[in-house]
Amino acid sequence: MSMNVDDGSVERVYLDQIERAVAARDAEAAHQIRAEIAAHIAESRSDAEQRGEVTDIRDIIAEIGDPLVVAAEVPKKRYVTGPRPSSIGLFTQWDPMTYVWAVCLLIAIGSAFYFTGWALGLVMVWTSSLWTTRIKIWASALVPGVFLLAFLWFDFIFVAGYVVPVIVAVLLYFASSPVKARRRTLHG
Amino acid sequence: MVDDRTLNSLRKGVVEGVTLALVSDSEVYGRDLAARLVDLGLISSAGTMYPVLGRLREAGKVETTWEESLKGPPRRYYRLTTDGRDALESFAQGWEIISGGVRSVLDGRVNQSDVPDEGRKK
Repeated sequence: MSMNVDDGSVERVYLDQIERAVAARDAEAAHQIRAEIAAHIAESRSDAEQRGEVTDIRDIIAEIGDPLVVAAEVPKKRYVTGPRPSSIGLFTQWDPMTYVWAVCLLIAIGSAFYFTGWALGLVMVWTSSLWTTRIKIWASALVPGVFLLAFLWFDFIFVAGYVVPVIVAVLLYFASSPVKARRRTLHG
Repeated sequence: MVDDRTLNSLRKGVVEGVTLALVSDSEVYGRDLAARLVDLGLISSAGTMYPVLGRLREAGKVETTWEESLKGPPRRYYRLTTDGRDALESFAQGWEIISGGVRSVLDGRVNQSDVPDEGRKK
């Protein structure tokens, strides 16, 4: 099978456009559809060669269609993590992104109320599938860990009480699966 | 002249069922399937078949097989699963009801006097 460099780059650009357009609607489907369309292109070339015809990648692309039209056939999914942000009945219908914001706010400012908000935030983290276990462990251990250090050796209770929860909230925001899915979509 | 929006709505309702019907008798080569759907006017371009097939595969109604070719890359063939056969049966029954109803109205077989007029003011 012969393919010149120009054809290769046109094909790559087209497949990238397909993947980006589909990912904007459903990140999980993007890779699969790209692979199927790449296979379609390879088969088109092979079929043409067997007929002794010369193929132009632009003709094959025209046959497959506009990336946005292809993507429009993909049902739009809001997040790749599924519709239930938490196993707690009260939160099961919540939008995952709203849930992430609620957890981050509770963790960040919750320490001001005798750490009740922080504790509630952690319960919401552990009952959710939006974070990995590793992140959950870090989010739970950081505040008590820094407090322990502050009591034992240093005098930085303010840092432990106010700054570390904010750092944990930022960590939880960026490590949550809805935010990671959005970032993947935006950056292709 | 059919407008695009109407055509797309109608296509969306039937394209999965027709795809199942096209692969129901034997395995069908992917490019042939796309060309057939385009010829039937059920998809606007070959690429739009892949999201449809993705949904059918995810639902376990269609499966993909790969066959070596003498020349070139292995080729994808699509075939119906048992669940797909049930779905096709259901689609065919539903289509009979819908198409019969629509056809009777469009052909003018239903007279105005046949339509219940309970809501009309007397």
